[in-house]
Amino acid sequence: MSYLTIKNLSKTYKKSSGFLNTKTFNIKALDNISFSVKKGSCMAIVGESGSGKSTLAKIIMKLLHPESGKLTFSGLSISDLEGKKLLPYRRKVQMIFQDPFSSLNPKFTIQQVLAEPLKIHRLGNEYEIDNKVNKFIELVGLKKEDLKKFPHQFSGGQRQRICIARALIMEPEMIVCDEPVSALDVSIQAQILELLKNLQSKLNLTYLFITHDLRVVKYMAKEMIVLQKGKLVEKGTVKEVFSNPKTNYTKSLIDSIPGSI
Amino acid sequence: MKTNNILDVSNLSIYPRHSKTLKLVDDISFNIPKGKVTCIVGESGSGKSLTALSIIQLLSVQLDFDGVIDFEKSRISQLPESKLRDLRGLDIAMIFQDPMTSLNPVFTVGYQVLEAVLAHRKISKSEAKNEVIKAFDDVGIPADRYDSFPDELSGGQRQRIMIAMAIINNPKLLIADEPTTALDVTVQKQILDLINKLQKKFNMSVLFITHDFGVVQEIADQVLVMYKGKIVESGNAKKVINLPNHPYTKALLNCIPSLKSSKKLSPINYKKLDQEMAKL
Repeated sequence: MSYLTIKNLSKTYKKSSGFLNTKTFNIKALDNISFSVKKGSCMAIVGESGSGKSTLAKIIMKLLHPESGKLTFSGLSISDLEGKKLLPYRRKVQMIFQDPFSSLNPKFTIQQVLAEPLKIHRLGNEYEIDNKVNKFIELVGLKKEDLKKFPHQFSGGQRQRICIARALIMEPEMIVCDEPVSALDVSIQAQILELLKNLQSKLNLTYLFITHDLRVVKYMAKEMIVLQKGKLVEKGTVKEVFSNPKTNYTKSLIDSIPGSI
Repeated sequence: MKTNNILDVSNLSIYPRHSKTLKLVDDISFNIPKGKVTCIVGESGSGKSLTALSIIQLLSVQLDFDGVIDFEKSRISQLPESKLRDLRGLDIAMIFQDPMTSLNPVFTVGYQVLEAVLAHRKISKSEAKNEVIKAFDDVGIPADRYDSFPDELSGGQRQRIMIAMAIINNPKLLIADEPTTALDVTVQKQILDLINKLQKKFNMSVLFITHDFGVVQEIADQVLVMYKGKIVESGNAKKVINLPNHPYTKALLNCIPSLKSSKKLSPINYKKLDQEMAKL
């Protein structure tokens, strides 16, 4: 049974230009996209910049409103939910961003960073929250002493671990990862990918993994979709798509992978 | 000095001015053969960018270096600043990592490339403009982009402009500091192909800095692997990738997700690595 279903999703950005912004034109960021994700799996969303993959992530996170289309999550329709009714969904679906340098509040200690989502959702008293923060910082391979530090005292890879801990502390069912390793060195990238993969099997998580690096797709995902200029051009298992790409666009993406190690 | 090398670096050390003992780059020696692509590979903090910057002496004022750098027949490590300015951009050109920040947002891209020509050659403005348009053609930018501002171009196009600026004076040595790290894979492929094509066309020597062995395989003839300020392995690129000798090179190669096999990724275990290196 499918777990997350997306049906006929479209989103258009309006852009205006010219004298007094009199000329307006539309950019179709997403054009009639449909796909579904199985529980406990990892679905890769692939495409170049401008292909609409981050717009898709924002719509799934309910940070953006689509013009049309339906979003269903474990049998519940999410598209029309608003405000407080969204809280349970927001708790179950978390996000990890691309840039670990700008996605942590520089004025918060790591303790505050990790405790904040729990406080917003009123999950437990102070004692319980402290316990949870201690548990999750260790889960991502950092130490309890690190909780007193500020984001600038960490390297890029460590910050990404903190972002992962912040996402996991809500005990989500699904995590949307928006290019979580593309800002990192290859050696750090390997650490973070390993961590994400281990956590997935340990906690039975579902991943939506956005990336433009097909080497990462091959490593992380079983299924993938390819977006080009807002259109879904390819859908299937990673094996199928790699061995038998249907569109020239996917072929060119596969050909662009540097080297053949 | 051997004649087939364009650049010879010997005993280069880089350290902060206030503490000579803290070596960021520690006594490295290497050379760059003429008409070949040499890659420096390493993680952030390994000293690869500092090495590149020290060649054209663009190190931060807080840093200082020791060692001898010979470019062709001249000892550039001892040149005064005024002579260095003639060298930079004419014989040795550089492309930086981030094309978003390395162009001036208030000048047109055509003007910025024009500036590079006029700084080094005594030719008229209209002749220089023709040169710029020729360079735009070499890097695949249409001539009508001359009057565009940087923010009107995509990341890949901006990097092409940077390359045009670097190659316009036919440099003998091109230093590229992670020129594709900020770009998408498909654009990365285009830029790598472009550098390859221009390198052959002008018979340039290229020093290419990257952290991705996939890129090394795509572009390099020779490779230097750096770790903690030292060169731990060097040699023919194919050889190093297929038969890595040093434990760090092996570890770095194991970090790259493979397309062919579904081997497990093994992040670098630094403790184990240091133990192995101590045994060497």
